[in-house]
Amino acid sequence: MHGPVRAPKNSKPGTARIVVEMPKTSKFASLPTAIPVEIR
Amino acid sequence: MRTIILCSVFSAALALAQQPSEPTPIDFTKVDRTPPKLPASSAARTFGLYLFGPRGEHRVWAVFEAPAKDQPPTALWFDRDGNGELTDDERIAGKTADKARTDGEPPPVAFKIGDFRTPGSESPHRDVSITWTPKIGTRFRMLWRGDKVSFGGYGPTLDTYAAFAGEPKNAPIFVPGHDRPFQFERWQTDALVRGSDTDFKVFVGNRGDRTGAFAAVDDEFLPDGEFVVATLHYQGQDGKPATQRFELRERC
Repeated sequence: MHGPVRAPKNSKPGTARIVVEMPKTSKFASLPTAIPVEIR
Repeated sequence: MRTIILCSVFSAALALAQQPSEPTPIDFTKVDRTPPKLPASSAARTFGLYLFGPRGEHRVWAVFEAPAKDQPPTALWFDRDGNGELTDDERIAGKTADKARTDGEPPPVAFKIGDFRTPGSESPHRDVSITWTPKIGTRFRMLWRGDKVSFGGYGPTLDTYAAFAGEPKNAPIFVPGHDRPFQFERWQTDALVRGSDTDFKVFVGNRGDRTGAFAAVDDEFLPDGEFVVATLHYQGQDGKPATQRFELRERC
């Protein structure tokens, strides 16, 4: 799966993280997964 | 009266014990890596371990044999019954890809395992195969319980895909299928540029014991309308933590 993610203009450059999970409305359970990302 | 009370307490305790516990990630440090029993051989062997079951409780070893170290494997031992003994399993010969590679690397070698059933599973997994590749790890593919595709191992980039290891204690652990709560792995995502959209791509499936050992479902697994949530946790210019929620709805 994929889609656009946008770091806000007022975000601080450096390491951040994206927590990925299924939505609460999904019929599939998930374990939230933290993925490190870099903001420039 | 005392008997009734005791029975009620016992029933309540039993019901509590039978409730499914909160799903947790598999603790790979506690996975039994007892080496499988193998026939005597002078072949160079490499090892991979596959976990099945809701808690990853069923171990299945896969072992490549090559004429010498750093050569492509010619045979595979696969522990179909999960008993840790490969001496009672069939030795599977590999099939080298016909297409010659232009980079001088040896071509992939595919090993067709066919169908097998894990303990506790009513339906067999079908069309199971494991493919050795020179540069993008050791790949498996199967129709999980004869239905949906499960494949791997994947990582964030091609060069991170996990290969079998020379010792059982270092073998990569893969968790095929979709009977556990989903986890996620990123796929070739660049750094986020402030104020611009970045296409954030993820595999959906089960994490393995290391980067490159992710087992994924394919893009057709999730029904229409299902999507994935990605929440960006970042710091504002004032240093305060903030979040922004995005929905990943597109399929490759």
